[in-house]
Amino acid sequence: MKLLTHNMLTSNIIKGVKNGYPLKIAATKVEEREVDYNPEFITRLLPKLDWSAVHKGAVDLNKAEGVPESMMDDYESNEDFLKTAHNILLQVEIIEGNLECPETGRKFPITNGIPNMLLNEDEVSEK
Amino acid sequence: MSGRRRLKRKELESYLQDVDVFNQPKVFLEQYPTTPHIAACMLHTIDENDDIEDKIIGDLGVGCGILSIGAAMLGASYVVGFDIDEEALSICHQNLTDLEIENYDLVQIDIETMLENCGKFVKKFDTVVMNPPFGTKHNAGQAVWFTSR
Repeated sequence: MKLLTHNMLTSNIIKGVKNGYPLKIAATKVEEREVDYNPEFITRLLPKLDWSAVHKGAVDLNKAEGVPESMMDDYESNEDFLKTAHNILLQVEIIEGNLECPETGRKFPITNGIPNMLLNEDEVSEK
Repeated sequence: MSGRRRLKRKELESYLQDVDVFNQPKVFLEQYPTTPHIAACMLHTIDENDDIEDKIIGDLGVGCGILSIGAAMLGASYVVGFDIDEEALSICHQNLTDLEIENYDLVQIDIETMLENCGKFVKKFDTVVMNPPFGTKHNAGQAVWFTSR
């Protein structure tokens, strides 16, 4: 699982959780892989993201060096920032570990790169 | 990615024949593989609308992944597949690895629960594709798609 996907996940799905974002990352196995750099894609992607969650995820993974806490205003023309964003969002792969709800501490396991967000019956909100 | 020659529907369909499908589809989850033909028709139409190349795609009920794989072949920048069943996800993961597709992620989740709390998800995707369970075994896999802009 990459940080780009982590940016979308929340434990608000659990009954009673008000702000389950961002999920804390406790990774036990992380890999880095090279992915083709596409600056147009990164530029278009950045405004859709919650950058503070990206930064927090990077901190959790011990990969926050060089990752600014907030997005640069001139990000579109800032090649260094775009490359940093590309690396942290797409090239870091969490293979094993847990995502944790920031409110309840409930763990969602990550196995073989796939997070399991399935809930128990008692965690699902009444419809 | 611009200047790519658009894959013809038949070419896409023939590539998609290689996608592995469910070994034992679970009837209670209404699992059935979207056929390469249907997947190719559907994706080709969406592609002609410029909704796949360089786009971020969500696949709700990804199953064995044929729609996501097709989208990746058509130049999607990033694909996230969501499904409740870990066996399907495992087959999907294997398919994506075998085809050396890189820019994707898979998430195991109950789509219904996800959609009820979909705030952060919806904004991220340019296009969402799905061929979900429709609540009947007799429905022959009509595919639905919509773009979220």
